[in-house]
Amino acid sequence: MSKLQILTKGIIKENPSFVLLLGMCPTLGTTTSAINGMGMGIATMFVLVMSNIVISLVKNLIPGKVRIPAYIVIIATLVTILQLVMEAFVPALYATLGVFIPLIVVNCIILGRAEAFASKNGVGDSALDGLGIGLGFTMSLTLLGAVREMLGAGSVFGWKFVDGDGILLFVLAPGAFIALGYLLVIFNKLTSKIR
Amino acid sequence: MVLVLFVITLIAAAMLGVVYNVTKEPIEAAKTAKTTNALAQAMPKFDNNPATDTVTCMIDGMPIKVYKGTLGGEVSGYAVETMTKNGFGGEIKMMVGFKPDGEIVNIEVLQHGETPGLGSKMAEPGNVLLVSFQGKNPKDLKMSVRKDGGDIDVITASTISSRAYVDAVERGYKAFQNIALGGAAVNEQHAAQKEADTCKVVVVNEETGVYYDVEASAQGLVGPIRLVVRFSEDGIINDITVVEQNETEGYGARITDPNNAILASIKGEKACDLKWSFKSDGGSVDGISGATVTSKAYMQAVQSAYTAYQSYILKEQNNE
Repeated sequence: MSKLQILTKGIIKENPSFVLLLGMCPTLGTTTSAINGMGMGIATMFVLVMSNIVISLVKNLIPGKVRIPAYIVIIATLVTILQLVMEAFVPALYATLGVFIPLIVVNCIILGRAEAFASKNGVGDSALDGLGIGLGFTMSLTLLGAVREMLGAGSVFGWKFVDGDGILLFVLAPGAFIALGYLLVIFNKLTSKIR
Repeated sequence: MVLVLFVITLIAAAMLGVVYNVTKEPIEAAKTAKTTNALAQAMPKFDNNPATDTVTCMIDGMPIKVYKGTLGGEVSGYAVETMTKNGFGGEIKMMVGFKPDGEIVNIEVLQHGETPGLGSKMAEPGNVLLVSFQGKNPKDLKMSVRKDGGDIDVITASTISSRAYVDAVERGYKAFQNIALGGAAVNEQHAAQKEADTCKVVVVNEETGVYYDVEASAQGLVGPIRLVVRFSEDGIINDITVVEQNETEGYGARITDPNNAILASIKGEKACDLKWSFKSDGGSVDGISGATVTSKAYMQAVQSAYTAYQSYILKEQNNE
């Protein structure tokens, strides 16, 4: 697999939200607006790249039997560092995403990539894999957030293009499921040829 | 195997320790900046640092913080950090800015868990709730939503959130009244606070509930007056016993009478709702006629006791 393939597979072929259907909790929970979805995506991407790098570095030192607890400790440490850094330097974003940040620890994409890719490949490839999957996750969360914001509040990235309220349902939890369902159908229809 | 896991957790703990220390100051700074920003948004113009000039008041068991702003030495306004527990999504915290006469300047919602797109509108600039309050004096307003016969417009489809908003503003106004309009200026409260630091608080468990006995003293006409104020759990003045006094027989000495005018005017009242001055000065306390100095000292001692009670309750809550 070429370097470019490793990077791009996460965006379409193995898109975590629309194809692998991993990490649904943050996908549904944080995407009330495009900016929230993007923030969550970028935070997850950061943890994913870092955890892939660290885990591929130490993969030969960790005995097989304790690898899962070791991975979880590494991921949890990275997430806590991210949380502290965000609280210190981007308090506005932290205020919106604060409750979801600790959930990155149990996001199955991260443990999944650690187990399926980083523990079997070199540092460079693992970093690219993390970046690719992270980009795919960020893009799908931003898209879902944008669709929900557009239908629910009549705006995109806070820029209002319709006067008045949207269909409130889409900002609430049920709207997340409905929007995700339709996006899944459209995404898979459009990309069925490429895959 | 165990060793590897141990080393990994050890490194992780060390790294977290380092990051915690590095980010500690910026996090504090960010929190302070948030408060200062909210103060600047809510309050009339000021040139002091209101964050250092605060008094905390317990209302309905919730700590409400009042900030005082001054401009060129004159009081320019107050900001009240108020809250409610009645939100649709839990607690709502907000900063309400008042001019010295009680007119609401602005309201900044600091924290809420209301539904995005519905109740969350309360945090947006120019929302109907804010507009209903802005530039108005709560004493001229009926503090409830239109649906309940009041003067406040509600956010469509968010009645519960709107009611909670009004509840928080009302609580903020109470604290403002208590501190700013209640005769007791913030400076006097500070003096009372210092006095209160020396007061002793004793928790008494009785069959009828938990009581707090607070001993306080003040300088009377002849020597010190010492008394014990008994507060119930929600800050109601339950009883006051004078322990020591040397006031004039027939006049000031009447403070020992269990039916004296001062006690009668404040007994059974919530201390936070009281205005600490005599009724003749627009307050809520009666004086003993012919014994103004003694009455004032008595009132001061009760006020110190109340401040001590407040800080005791706050400490207790923080420990929990």
